[in-house]
Amino acid sequence: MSFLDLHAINKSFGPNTVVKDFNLSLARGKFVSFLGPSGCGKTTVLRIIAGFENPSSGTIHIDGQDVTGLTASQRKIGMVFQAYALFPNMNAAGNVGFGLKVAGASRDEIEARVAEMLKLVGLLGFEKRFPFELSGGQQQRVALARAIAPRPRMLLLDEPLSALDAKIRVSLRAQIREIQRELGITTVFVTHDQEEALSVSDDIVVMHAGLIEQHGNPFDIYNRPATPFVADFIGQLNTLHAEVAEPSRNMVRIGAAELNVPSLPAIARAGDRVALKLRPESMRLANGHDRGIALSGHVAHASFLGSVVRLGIDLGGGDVVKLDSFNDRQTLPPEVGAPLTITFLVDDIVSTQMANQQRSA
Amino acid sequence: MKHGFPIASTLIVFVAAAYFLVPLYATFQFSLQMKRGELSLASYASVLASADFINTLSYSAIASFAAILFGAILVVPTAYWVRLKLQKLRPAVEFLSLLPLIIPPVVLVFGHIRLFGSSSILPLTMTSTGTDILLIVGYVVLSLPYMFRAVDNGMAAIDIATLTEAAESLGASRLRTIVEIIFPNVRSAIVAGAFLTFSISLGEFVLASLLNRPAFGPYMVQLGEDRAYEPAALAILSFALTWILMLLMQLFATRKPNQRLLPRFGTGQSRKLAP
Repeated sequence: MSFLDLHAINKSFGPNTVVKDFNLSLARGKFVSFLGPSGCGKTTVLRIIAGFENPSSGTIHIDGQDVTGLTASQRKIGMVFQAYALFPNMNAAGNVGFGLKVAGASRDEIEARVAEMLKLVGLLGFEKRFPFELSGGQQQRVALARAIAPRPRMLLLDEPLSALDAKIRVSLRAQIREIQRELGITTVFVTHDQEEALSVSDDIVVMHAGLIEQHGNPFDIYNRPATPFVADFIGQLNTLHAEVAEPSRNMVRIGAAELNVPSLPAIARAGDRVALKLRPESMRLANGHDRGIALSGHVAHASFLGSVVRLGIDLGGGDVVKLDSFNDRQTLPPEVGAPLTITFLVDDIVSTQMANQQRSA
Repeated sequence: MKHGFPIASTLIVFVAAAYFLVPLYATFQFSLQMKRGELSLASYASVLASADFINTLSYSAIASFAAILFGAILVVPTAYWVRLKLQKLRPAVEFLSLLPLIIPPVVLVFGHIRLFGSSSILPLTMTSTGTDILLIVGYVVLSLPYMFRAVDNGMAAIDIATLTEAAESLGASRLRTIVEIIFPNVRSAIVAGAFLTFSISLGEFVLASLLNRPAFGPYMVQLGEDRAYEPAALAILSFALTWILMLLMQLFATRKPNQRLLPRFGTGQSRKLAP
């Protein structure tokens, strides 16, 4: 049986429906990310779970209990906010112990639990510090300790890393995941950062315009996107334009080369233009031992990014594809204008869309 | 880039300062001339020795404290609720809070007398306590623009919506959230509003005079009619009191939690943020 059940959730603000027929079941102890662009409804769903918003229709069950009619204070759900939301009038210990004080815990119990939680987030010794005496990363760790101190049934994280700088974001997300695993607490994490979602989640729910586009594990979401939106939103995609040769056999033509793609849109007819989508890492520079399709072009631009060299390769016909290769100390990046041949396997084509859809995606 | 001496702005500052300070200095000097041919503090001694001075000042101080208390009880929950749930009503509430600046106090007090006079169903003006209540309510209304603005700005600075949600997610009731989270975090703003209320109410004349209360404002006016040097001394004392209150307001309004009122001398230590 699932731990969190969202059934037919709809939410409207006036005439705008921001969440549409949202159904989701999560198993106990999972770390699930809601991923999507701004305005897709992910934070609204999180706030509905927390009890800060009432759904226009639908039900929410946590551990078998219908919590739809309960207030936020009755749900026993821990929440970490983007803006930390530490109580400015309380020091770190006061913040972490607040939930326990509300629950009526004894002073000794509160002191012990506060010390335990601050140790867990690596801030033992910071008990007396006020929020204005803590850095952003430290404040968010206190906020995490505060959320989990009263032993909530589940944990909600509303873009908790967005306000932090890049380095702290990476270390804190790893710490959050470690703590979640240690406590085994069911966690929903809202983010618009796909790298964050891919790196820490058991499951990802990709949302767009109030709907679930795909729910799956990070590997499937990245490698087997269910919709053109997911394919475009997650990671980077190269577009190769091709002409449909034989729709019945999924045959397309790029220049002189004919290839058999995994699928074609149902409406594709012979002679139509289609866009083949591939990840940059699926493409290789030809080295004489290649399999698959080979296409020739020239270097349009080259960027040295440290560990990675990113090339833009002009294949003609308006197609400029990106190709990433690891830095090699013995080999200089190619010069702009140098001729190159790239290869890829037909199986690496993520999706095939009608050429005019690609513009809108 | 080299800037020349700002002659025009310096001149404006001097003229503005002179406009305020010259009459004040003249009043101060006049207050020292009670004894012919010498400068003395005799007028101040005369004022401070007067029982009426102490009685009226005490009365106005008590009425002002009561107005601060009622004002805070009225304004804090209102500003909180408007910011949290009734954002659309904010312009209307702000406009209402500014009305006392537009409507003269004399209109307010005649409204009070008509509404709560001897022929009304609630004849508050018929008893001394009732009239005191009307005076305090009047002070609350007069100080509303300052109290509401101070508290509302204080709430804008702390993102009360998120703090309320954080408290609720930890199981706190709405009342507990207001008492333990919101109130302490707008304390500085309330203190600022309170000092403004105090300085407005302490020397207020129109309400106290027309309600016939033994307050400090009417006492000052009466003294001005009867004596020569004491009113000048009283004006200087009144200024000094107001300035002390403003100074206290600055100290409290800019204070962070756990921060001392005055810096600790001698230790030279400060806590730094960890990386």
